[in-house]
Amino acid sequence: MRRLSGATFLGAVLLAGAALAQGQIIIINGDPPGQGFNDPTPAVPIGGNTGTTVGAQRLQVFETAAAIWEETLHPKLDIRVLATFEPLGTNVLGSAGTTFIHADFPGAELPGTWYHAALANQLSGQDLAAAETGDPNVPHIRARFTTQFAFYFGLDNNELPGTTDLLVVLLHEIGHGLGFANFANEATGALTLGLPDVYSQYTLDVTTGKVWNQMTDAERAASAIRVGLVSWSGVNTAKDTPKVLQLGDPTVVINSPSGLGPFVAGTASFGPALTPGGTSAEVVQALDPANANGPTTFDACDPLTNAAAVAGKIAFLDRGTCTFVVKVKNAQNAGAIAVIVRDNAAGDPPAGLGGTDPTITIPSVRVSITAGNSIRAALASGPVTATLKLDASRRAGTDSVRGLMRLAALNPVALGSSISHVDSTAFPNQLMEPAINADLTKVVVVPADLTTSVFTDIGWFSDQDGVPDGVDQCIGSPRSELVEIGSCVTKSPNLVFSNGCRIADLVNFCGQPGPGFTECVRGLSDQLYDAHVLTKREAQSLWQCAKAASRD
Amino acid sequence: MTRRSCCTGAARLRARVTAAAAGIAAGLLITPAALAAPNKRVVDGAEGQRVAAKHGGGAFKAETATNRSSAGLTGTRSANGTRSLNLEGRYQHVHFAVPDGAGGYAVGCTDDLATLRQATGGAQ
Repeated sequence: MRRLSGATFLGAVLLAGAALAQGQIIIINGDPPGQGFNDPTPAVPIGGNTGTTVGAQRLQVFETAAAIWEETLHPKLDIRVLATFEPLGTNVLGSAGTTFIHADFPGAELPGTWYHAALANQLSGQDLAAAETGDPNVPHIRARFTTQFAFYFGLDNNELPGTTDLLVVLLHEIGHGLGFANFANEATGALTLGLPDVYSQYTLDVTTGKVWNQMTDAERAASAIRVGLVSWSGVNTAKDTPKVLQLGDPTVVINSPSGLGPFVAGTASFGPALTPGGTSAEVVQALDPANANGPTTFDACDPLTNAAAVAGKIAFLDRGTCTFVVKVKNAQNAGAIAVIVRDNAAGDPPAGLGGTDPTITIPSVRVSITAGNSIRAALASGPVTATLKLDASRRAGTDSVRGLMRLAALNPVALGSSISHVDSTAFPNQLMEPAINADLTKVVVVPADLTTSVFTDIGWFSDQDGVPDGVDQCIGSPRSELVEIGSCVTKSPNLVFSNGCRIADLVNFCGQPGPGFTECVRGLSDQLYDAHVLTKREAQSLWQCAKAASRD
Repeated sequence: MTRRSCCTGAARLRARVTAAAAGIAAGLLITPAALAAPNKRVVDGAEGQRVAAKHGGGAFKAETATNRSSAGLTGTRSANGTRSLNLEGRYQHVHFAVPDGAGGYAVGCTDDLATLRQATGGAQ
């Protein structure tokens, strides 16, 4: 028997994944003849989509999204997505989610906890919804998309101006159906039929140190609006976060007066990016005529009337009526060196500033209406100086307490789909942010995206070792009852620790056979004996086998 | 070699192994061919329409899709203890578009009816 070195350990994980990858993500075309996926309207192939009808192109985008998730998650069983294209109403693009949830099934990592249908099947190895309904084609995910919107059907993430990349939207929505969602009512904190869910098991309020499944309804409702302080606690996502999210969190720091801010900032899709050094200056209220272009003197929809005061300063203006690029361009033309846009609707954290204008050369940010009102009140009392910067002490989209990936806690909760998304301040932009950003691609794994890391935490790659994967630091541990080193079977039981690692993992961490390996295993066996984990005989057998393997 | 050097080396290797294992587990095995040439199975025709009629939930209703209450839903429990709940079209996420004033759209996702109504009402 060969020793499981690090390389063979990885190979075993790979082979195990391949061997188990028997399922497909199947699209159930629920459209009637001539409609939706069956729309015969001729279409020109675009962006790698070879369909020659509108219906065929829609289907090919769905198939591609299914292929990406299938290649990523290696489902053991088929996942059926019932999909239709139909009119959904003005500006409603689509909807999706799981059709069933299950709990207490064989293989569940957490007892008394709801799981999405597809994930429950993955863990149990059974089609639970089919067993429940007696229908072998019962869908696990329901997806509807509109026929009334100009989606981009290309598969190359190269959407045309004014269109939206259907592939990315689909990846996001199917992602919700596969497990990226809770089943709590975030307004009331109520659970579904009184049971918690696997997503909430890793939804951590960093102010209380409790995950949502440990909270009362009232605590959950209160947590849902703790902006910037609700994070994902799963160990796999925590480990991957530094590989994905960049250093620097967009912030407006108020240098004077003291006691004001700092404020979370939404960044602009135009103009220069914020820097760690930032842009500092006095903040000045921008003024313009109140007219048909913009009804207030604060909206900057016209050329500014106080250009002399704004020149060389940070212009402060209101969202509304005209586009962000018009406002920022008017401030730039007046000589401003940066812009703070005060939101005009409740909601925190603020979204970014959308639009495109290559002639804009100054940075700009959006702050919440609450933050904006504070700045306005301070301006009424005297000078305000500020810095628009990237806070380099943490990664974009992580919390200030533990450095974990933030979830989209919004205040008020009614103004956004919140915890079941990544916080919008994450950068690079993430697939599961509430807003679909134009720079998203079809890559759903590290180093581009953390969605699959979250899926790892909730159990998509479970090794069924009794340790939930969100706290399991050794998914795919060797499962033999006794630790084996090369051809030598030790007398050491292959115990599993609370972090999901087994003694065999610790041996594997010692590397390849040789003098260093033997000494490392000896040190390890000493530690395990000292900690009363192993008996002296068991511990000695570890390093004796290591010596034997190193001699071979 | 001392225990200290042992564990330092082990920690380094552990970091490499766990990082690589997580990468594999996280699905880095996507192949360009898989992305470029989807050949997934599709259920369509009469069977697709049967499934849609039985499980599709009828016409889209935003109130149903964004319903985050289990009131009126009935869970079941099988002989082996498995609990199941048909969500009947609730707990969905809804994608919406808001004109950005520059000829394009800001696209977002919500599970909240008030957000959806505000967004699709045309406010930027």
